[in-house]
Amino acid sequence: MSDQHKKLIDQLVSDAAPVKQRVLPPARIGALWFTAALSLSALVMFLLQPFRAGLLEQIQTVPLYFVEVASGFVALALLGVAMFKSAVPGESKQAMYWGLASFGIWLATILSGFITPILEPSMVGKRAECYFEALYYSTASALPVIWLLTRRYSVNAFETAFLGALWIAMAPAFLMQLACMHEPNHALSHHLLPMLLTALVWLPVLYLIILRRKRLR
Amino acid sequence: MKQEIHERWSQLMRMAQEGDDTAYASLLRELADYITSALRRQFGVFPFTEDCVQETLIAVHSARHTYQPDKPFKPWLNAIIKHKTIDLLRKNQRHMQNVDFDIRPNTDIDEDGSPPDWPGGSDGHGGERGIEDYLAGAQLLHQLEKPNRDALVYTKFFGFSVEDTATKLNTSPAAVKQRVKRAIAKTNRIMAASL
Repeated sequence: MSDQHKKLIDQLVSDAAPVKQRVLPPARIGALWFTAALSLSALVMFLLQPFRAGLLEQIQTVPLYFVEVASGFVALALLGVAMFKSAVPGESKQAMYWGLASFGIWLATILSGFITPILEPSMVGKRAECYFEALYYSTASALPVIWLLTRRYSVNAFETAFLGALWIAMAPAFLMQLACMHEPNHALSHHLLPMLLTALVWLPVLYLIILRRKRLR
Repeated sequence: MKQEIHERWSQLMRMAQEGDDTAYASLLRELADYITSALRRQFGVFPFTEDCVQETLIAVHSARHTYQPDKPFKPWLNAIIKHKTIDLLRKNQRHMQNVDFDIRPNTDIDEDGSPPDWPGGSDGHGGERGIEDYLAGAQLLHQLEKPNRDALVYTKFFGFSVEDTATKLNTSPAAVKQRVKRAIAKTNRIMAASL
């Protein structure tokens, strides 16, 4: 071993304080985050204005709508786990691949409404401010995500930022598809467009913060 | 045997997380030897590999709170080694592009076109033979396509500018940059599969 390495090791050992609290395993923190963040957003959304009337019946009786809701739900759960997994070295990428696949199915199902509407187009459940609500909820969930992710050590900052931004942006869009009116044009312009915008804003922000935080360690 | 070593490192890391300095020092010393031999096996003996070892040790130190004692140590460590190696290759590229060849000492290309201090380079044996001699044993570099590998070695491991490398390889600076990018991408893939 070279003298340089010996000197470095001595420095690192003298600098090492006991780890007060190991970070929670990514699967557990991901599941906790998914449950807490989604429930809280749904609750606030519900308190502002109840969800669309007949929602449960639509989920039970329209198979394609069930696919949309189920794939969105699974995508958020898996992407939540994947985002924390990507912030810890050596974790598997299975959750990310399956999460992205589910996200693709969710998106495809919504967009398939342009060919054949999944539900009978109607104004039932229309929320006056759904576009801005989506933006607010994204911003609210972004701050804890940043805090939680920067406490870890991401070996691929872009991947972590991408998954984080996708989760932050997708969660409100998913909830809006449940709470607000269900119509393809409205979904595209008022739910998916804010999702795209927030993802594009948060991706570079998260990326830079994660990189900077890593350099400061 | 290997499994036992990784279990031992996992145990040492657990003790280090609890504040045992002796265990931490042992762990870092053993890791330094392991990382050095792993990187030399892949890249040969270059100052680059020494830098990589140092960067990896610092990263292990920074990330030690993320290690879960109930998980295997090897994937955690290998992810950090791979990440730091690729990171350093990319960083060097940005750095080298800003360095003026004329103001760097001891990097003049010899008349035969090979860099100084290369085995077989300046003693009349010719540059190509020199680079092969120098890369003997560098398993990973031998898996890269020759044009890409040469561009990578010239720019990253010997510190030549893109322009000087282009002159040596009889190509354009843009092609050198492209080859280096390809070499790094393949290095990334090979390391992901082999580590």
